[in-house]
Amino acid sequence: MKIGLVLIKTPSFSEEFLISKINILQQEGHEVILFAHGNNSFNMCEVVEMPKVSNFFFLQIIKMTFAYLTITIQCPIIVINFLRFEKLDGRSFRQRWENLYLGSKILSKNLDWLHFCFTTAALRKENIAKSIGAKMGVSLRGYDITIFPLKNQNCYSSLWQRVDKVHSISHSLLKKAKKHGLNSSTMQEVIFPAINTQRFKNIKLKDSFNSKKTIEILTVARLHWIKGLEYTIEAAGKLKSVNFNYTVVGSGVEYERLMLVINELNLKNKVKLVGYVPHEDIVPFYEKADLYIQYSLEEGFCNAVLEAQSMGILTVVSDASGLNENVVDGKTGWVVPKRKPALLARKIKQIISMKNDKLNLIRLNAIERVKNKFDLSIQKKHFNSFFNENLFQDK
Amino acid sequence: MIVAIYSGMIPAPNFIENLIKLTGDEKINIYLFGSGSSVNYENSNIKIFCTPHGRLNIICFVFFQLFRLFVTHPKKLYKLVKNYKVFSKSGSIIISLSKILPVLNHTPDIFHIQWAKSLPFWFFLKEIYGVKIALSLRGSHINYSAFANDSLARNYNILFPKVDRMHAVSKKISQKAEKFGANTNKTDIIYSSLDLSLLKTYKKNNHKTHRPFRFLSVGRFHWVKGYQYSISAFANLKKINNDIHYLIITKNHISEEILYQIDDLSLENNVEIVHPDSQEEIYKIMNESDCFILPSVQEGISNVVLESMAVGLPVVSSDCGGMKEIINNGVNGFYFPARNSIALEKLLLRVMNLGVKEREKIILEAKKYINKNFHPNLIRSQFHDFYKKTMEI
Repeated sequence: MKIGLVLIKTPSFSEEFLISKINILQQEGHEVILFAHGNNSFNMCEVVEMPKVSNFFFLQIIKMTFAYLTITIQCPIIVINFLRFEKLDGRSFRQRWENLYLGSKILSKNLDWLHFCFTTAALRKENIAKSIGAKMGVSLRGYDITIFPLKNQNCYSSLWQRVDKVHSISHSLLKKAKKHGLNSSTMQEVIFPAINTQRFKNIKLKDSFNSKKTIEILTVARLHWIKGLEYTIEAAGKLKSVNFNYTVVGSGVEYERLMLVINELNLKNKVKLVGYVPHEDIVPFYEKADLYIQYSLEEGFCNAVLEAQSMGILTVVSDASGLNENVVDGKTGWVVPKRKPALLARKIKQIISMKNDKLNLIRLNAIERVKNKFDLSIQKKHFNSFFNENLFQDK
Repeated sequence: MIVAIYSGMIPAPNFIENLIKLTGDEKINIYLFGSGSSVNYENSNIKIFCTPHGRLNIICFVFFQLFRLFVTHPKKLYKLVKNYKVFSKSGSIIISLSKILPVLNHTPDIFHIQWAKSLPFWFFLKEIYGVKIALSLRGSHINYSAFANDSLARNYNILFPKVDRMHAVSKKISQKAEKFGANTNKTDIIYSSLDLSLLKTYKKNNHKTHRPFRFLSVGRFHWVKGYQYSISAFANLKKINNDIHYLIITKNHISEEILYQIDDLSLENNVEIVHPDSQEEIYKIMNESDCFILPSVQEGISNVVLESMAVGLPVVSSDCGGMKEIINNGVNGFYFPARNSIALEKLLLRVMNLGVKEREKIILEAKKYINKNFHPNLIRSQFHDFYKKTMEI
């Protein structure tokens, strides 16, 4: 089977999850083509660069004319079909031709399956699969399902009508997609994200907390409101009686906002925003940490929480969407209602006062659960079934 | 005396426009520099020197200004060329010159900078041309930017002690500026003025509350405004009393964060966002509301709180910045610890349950306080003194 995967940008080799997905499909004998913006040295499979939109009007006209000529010579019937389907969707003349340009690189490939790895990547490309006679799949991602439709009402209505199979990274995200119009009868499968548990491996269990020890707290997240870092720092401000250091790994637009709350709460010596750290250098931060906090307002699932649990770090998360499925409250970590810094602070104090036997049990449970449920090897089985050919027989 | 009030934009934000209109008279001529569009002030003592838009226009403008400076003030041009670093150190040379040249062609006695971040750019006026520099301490430039930006903090530390005179919009912000070397002896605390005659026409006469109870906030969507806390408080309050409504007046688009929060807490039917066209329309809505909420995490002194107090709308404000200087808790309004949505929720409930007499008493106290401390005549004389003292240094 010839499978086309549509991404936003070409992946780097550090994106283990996607690399593993491509590996699995190739091992199963499928041919994989990536469609993405930008080009790098990625060479695991054919990479097709998606058409760019130029700021210069005349250059754009030339590029569009060239694309139309090429695609019409290569596959005239597909072009006619595509424009017809677009018209049936009620799109204006201009939109139809713009969409033809945007989808031209995919239309010219003779695919059996077209899979959009991000929901927003499928926008304005809903009729491509139907035009080339391929099946269409889409992956649901956090921002695409929880925020984007709020700003763009009914943006996915055409997509939900066309898509053959939906992949979600959590049950809660699937539920939200249904709230935004995904039909319950559309084939759907939840495949959780996965990590390389061999890389994020626990070395030794930590000693018990005591009053002399400085507790190392860690969050790995970009500095964005959705990560709830302001609330986490507010909670840190309520831990006056605790000897701790809180490290936030990640960069982003909210630096000024977070520095203000750090200054206001006199936490400059305790809270450090260390900036961006490449994923391949992240393990030493986990090794140092006693407690991992992910107090996000919204999460599709969150790989960092899996990595922390896999490393045997005590993990506290908010009850935002996928985090509820990522951590089992009281068994592999703790779940605290979001936007309630006082509750988060109280929970941290409780954990610190717990006996080490109890904490070790939680650590071991987390390591075990991640290994059994969220390791890359587990993913293989699920992705094999997702792209199976039964779908073609069923239809 | 010629005073340039510089905000970079023409027209400037409302509170700076108020200052411009208030201070311009026979004794003090006001010059305005910056980009934007011309404003008709109906006051011949206010003159505008606007930098045009568009690359070609700006280039022509710079050549004209250069020629004029060469003909009328060749010495100034010589000094500028000699100190070429002042226009070559930041960004585009043409853009820098388009800002500097009109000021040199119409050099004021005092250059009054409204936003501290532009102080490093303009400080050469004092060093090379001997122009007095006055600085207003207001907004994010003092409240938080320098705490997150080491190079800005360094610049403040070097320049603040050298500024001729400072105007602080609140005592609190003056204290913050002290951390960067501002001299309190050279700082005057002058509050913003209000257009009390206009506000009078929107004064609330009926102090009975509406059903549903109408909460109001006014301000752009920005994290510093703290809407996430007021919406959390409102959502919790709704669990106790469903008969409430929250209106937010803003000039910009709703932020993703607040859009998400409203959806997440299922408040679509209770929280409304509006974009009024005029200041009068805002006052009209204030007149028809029952309680004003200021949930900000940082403010100098919020003008909308002062306006609400003048209109007769009870105010619940966070204790951020200089707000505690204005609000006497429980007497002319209420305040809660900033970022504490539980405390805010309790206060909102308290305001909802106020009896008519209690409401009237608070409203009366608020109006009295505003009339006494924010009267335009008072603020005008304070600014005249301020400029006089600046010249005496």
